[in-house]
Amino acid sequence: MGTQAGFWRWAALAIPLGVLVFFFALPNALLLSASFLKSEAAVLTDELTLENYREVFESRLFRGAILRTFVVGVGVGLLDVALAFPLAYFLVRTTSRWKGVLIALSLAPLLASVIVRTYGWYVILNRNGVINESLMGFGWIETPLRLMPSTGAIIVGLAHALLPYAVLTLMSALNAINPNLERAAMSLGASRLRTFVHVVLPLSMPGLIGGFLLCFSIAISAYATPAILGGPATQTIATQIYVNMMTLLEWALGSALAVVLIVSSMAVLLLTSRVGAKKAAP
Amino acid sequence: MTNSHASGPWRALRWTVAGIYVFVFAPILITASVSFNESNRSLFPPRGFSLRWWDRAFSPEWLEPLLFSLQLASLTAAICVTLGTPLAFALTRWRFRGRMAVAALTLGPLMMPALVTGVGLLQLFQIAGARGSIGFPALLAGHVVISLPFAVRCVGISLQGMPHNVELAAMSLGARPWRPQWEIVLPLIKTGVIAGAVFAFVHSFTDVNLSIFLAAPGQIPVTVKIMGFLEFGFAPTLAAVSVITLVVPLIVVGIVQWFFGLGDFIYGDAR
Amino acid sequence: MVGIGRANGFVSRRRFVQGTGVAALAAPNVLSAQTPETLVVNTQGGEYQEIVEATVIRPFERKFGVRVTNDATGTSAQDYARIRASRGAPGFDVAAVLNPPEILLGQREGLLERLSEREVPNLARMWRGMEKVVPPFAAPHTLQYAGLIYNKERLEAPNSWSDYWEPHRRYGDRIRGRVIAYNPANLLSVYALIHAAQLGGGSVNNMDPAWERLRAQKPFVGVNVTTSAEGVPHFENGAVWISPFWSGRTGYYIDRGLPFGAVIPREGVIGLFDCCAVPVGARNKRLAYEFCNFRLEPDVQRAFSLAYFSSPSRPDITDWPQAFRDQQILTQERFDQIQWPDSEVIGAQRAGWTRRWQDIMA
Repeated sequence: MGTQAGFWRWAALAIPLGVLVFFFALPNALLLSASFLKSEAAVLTDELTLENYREVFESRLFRGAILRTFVVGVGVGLLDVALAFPLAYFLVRTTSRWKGVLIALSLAPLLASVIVRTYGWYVILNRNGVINESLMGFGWIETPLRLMPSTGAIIVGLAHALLPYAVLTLMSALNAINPNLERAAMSLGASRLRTFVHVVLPLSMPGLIGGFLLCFSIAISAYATPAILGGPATQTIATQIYVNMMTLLEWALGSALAVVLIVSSMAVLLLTSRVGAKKAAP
Repeated sequence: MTNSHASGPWRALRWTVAGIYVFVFAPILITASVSFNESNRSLFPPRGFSLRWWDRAFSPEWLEPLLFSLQLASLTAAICVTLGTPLAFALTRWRFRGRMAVAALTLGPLMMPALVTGVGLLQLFQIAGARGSIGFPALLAGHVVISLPFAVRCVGISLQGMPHNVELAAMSLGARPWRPQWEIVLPLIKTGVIAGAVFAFVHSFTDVNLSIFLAAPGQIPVTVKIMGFLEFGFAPTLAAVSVITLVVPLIVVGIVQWFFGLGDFIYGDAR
Repeated sequence: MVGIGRANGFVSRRRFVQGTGVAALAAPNVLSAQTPETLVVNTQGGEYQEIVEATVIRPFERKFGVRVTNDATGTSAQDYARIRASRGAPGFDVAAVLNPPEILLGQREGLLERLSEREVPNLARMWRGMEKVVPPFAAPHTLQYAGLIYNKERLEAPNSWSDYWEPHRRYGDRIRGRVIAYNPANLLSVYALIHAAQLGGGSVNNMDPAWERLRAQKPFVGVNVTTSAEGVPHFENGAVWISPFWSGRTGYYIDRGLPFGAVIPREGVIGLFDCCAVPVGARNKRLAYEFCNFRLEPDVQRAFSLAYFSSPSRPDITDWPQAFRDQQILTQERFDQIQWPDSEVIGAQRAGWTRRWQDIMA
C-alpha cells in the first residue's frame, strides 16, 4: 500500500469532511450556541443560561413534541418499509416492459410533496373529504371521522412523501440477492411463500434496516407535512423549531430545541447501529 | 422459470402493488385536477374546465426558477457523488479512530432541519464577509451539504455488497495498488453512484427551507417561489406548476436511467 | 390633488438631495440612459405580486430611471429572520412588508435604519397619532385591520366580537365545528384574543378573560391553522363559517368570488401596518429612502389601496369610490377609532401567549 497511496486516501477524505465541517458543523455550532444565551422578548443578550433547556424539558408541550417526533419517525419508518417491500420486490422481479416507467413513477410522491401536502391530503382526509364521503356512502360509518389533524395523518402524509427513499433503498438491497437462490429453494419443494419468508426476508434485512433508518432520519426533521397535517395537540420538535425560529423569532429557544433534536436522534441511531452491528457480525 | 409469475402469491403481489400506486397517486391527481378550474378558486372537484392556469404555469415567471432549480440540482448531484464516494469508501472499508464521529457527521445534515442549517449558513457567510456569495454559490454549498448523506449512503450500500477480495484478486494478478480502485471497483459501484446522484438531485430540487435564506433575486429555486405564492393562498396556477415540477425532474431522472441502462441503474448488477 | 402630490414629491426630493449633499449624483442618474441604478425590494409575492409591480414598482422605475428587482418571498417574520441571520445585509435594500413586531426587533437589535422626515419626507403627512404606533424605524404604507368575516349563505351578519368568541349564543348549536382558531404565532390570533380579553373587562395587559373565553370557545372550533392563507380552503369549501380576518385579504377573496361578508364589530378593530424599512446593510440606501418615500406618494397610495382592498397611511387622499369608503379607513376620524394595543407588550408576551394557547387547544 505505501504511504503515497495513504496520503492520497486521506486527501480524498479531507475534502468531503472539510465541506461537512465548514458548511454544516460550523454554522450549526455557531447558531445553536444561542441556546445557551438568555433571550428577552426575542432579543438575545450576552448572558449565559440554561433556562432555555429547562423550558424545553419542563414544558408539557415540548416534552410531548419530543415523544411525538420519535413516534412519527418510527411510524413512518415502519410504514414506509412495509409499503416499499412489496413494491420493491415487484419492481426488481417483474419482467413487465413498463418496469422503467414504474420505477420512475415511484419517485413521484417525493417530487410532488409540497403542494400535495398543502391541498391533496386536505381534500382526502378532512371531514367532508374523499375518505369520509366514501365510508359514509357505503354506510360503514354514520358521522364523519376526524382524520386530521392527528399524529396518524402526519405519519401517513410523511410516509407518502418519503416512500421513494425506502423503495429505492430496498431495490438496491433486493437486487443483490441472487434470484437463483429463490429458484433453488423452490426447486427443492418450498412454496413461494416459504421461500420468501426463509430466504428472501433474512437476506434483505440490511436493506430493510437501511430503508427504515433513512425514512426515520428524514421524518424526524420534517417540518412542512407535520405543520399542515398536525394541530396544536400534535406538535413535533421540527414544527416547534420552525415556529420559534421563523415566526416568533425566539432563536434561543429554537436553538435549544434543535440541539435536543439532533442529540437525541444521534443517540437513537448510535443505539440501533450498535444493535445492528451485533446482529450482523457473522 | 417465470411462469411462477402466474401463481397466486404473485397475483396477490400485483394487486398489492396496484393498491400502493393508488395510495401514491391519489393525492397527486387530486391536487393536479384543481389546475383545471375555470375560476381562480381552488375547488375540488374542479368546476368548469380551463387551461389558462397552465398557460401561466408555462410563463417565464415559472420556467426561469424551474430551470434554475434543475441546474442547481444537477450540479449538486455531481458534486455530491464526487465527494461522497471517497467518504463512503472510508466509512465502509477503513477502520480508524473517530469513525463513528465521521459517520455521525455524515448523517447529521439529514437529521437537522434544513431551516436551521440555512439560517446558520447565512450567518456564516455574513461573518466570513462573503456577502456576495448569497445566491447560487451559497445555495450550492447548502444543497451539497444536505444532499451529501444520500450519496454517501448509496455508494456505501453498493460497496457493502461488493466483496473485498475483488481488489485483492486484481492485485494478486499483478495490478498496481491503486489500479483496483479506478478500474475494477468503480464500475461495480456505478449503480450506487447513480442512485446517490438521483437521490441528491431530488433532495436538492425539493428543498425549500434552506433555500429561503440563501436565495437572491433572480437566483430563486422554484420551490421557494411556490412557497411565496402559497403564503397568499392556494390557486389553480400553483396546482399546474406543481405538476410541472413533478414531471420535469422525473423526465430528467428517466433520461439518466435510460442512458445508463434501462431500469438497471438503481440496483447492483448481481447477475 | 394628484398634481399637488407630484409637485410635493419633486420639491421634497430636491430638499433631501441638497440636504445630504449628493446633488451631483442625482441629476445625471435620472437623465443618463447608461447603466441604471438598481434597487432590490422585498415585497408581497403570490397573487399580490402583480399588484405591487403595477402600482408601485413600475412607476418608481419610470420616475427615477432605475431598475428594481422584486424579491417576492417571505412573511414579515421570515424577512426579519433573514435580516437577523445576515446581520442586516439580507440581500434586499428595502423590506417593504414588515410589521411592527419586527420593526421593534430591528430597532432593539440595531438592524434597521432610523427613518425620519429627513430621509422620508412624506412621513410628515401620515395619520395623526401614528408616531405612537410605529417606531421611527419604518415608513408605514398600508393599513389593514382585523375584522370579522362570515359565510353569507349560512349565517346572519355578526356585529360583535362575542359572536365569534361565544358563537352559540347568537347562532345556536349549528355553529359547532364551524369556527376557526388561529395560532398566536399569527398576529390575527393575537388581535382576536385581545378582543376576547376586552369582552371580559381585560386588555392586552390582562389577558386572563381571553383564556377563559378561549376555553369556552374550544368545543365549537373545528379547525386550527397558523397562517391566514391556510384558512382559505376551509372558507372555500364551507367548513368554516366565521373567522377573524385581515381586511385587505378579505376584499381580495370576496372579489374572487368567496361567498363571505365582512363586518367591523361594534367593539372596534385593531389595526395593522405594513411598513417599509431599510436594513443597516443595504447597498443603496439613498435609493432605498427614495423608494420608501415614493411608496407614500398619494397616487401610489391610492392605486395600491384600490387594488389591494386596503387603506392608505395618509389622510389627505379624498377621491375614493363610495363602496370603498365603507370598508376602509380613509379619514382621520375613522383612524382614531382604530385600536392600537402596545406593540412592545405584544412583542414581549407573544411567545408566552402562544404556549398558553397551545396548552388550551391541545
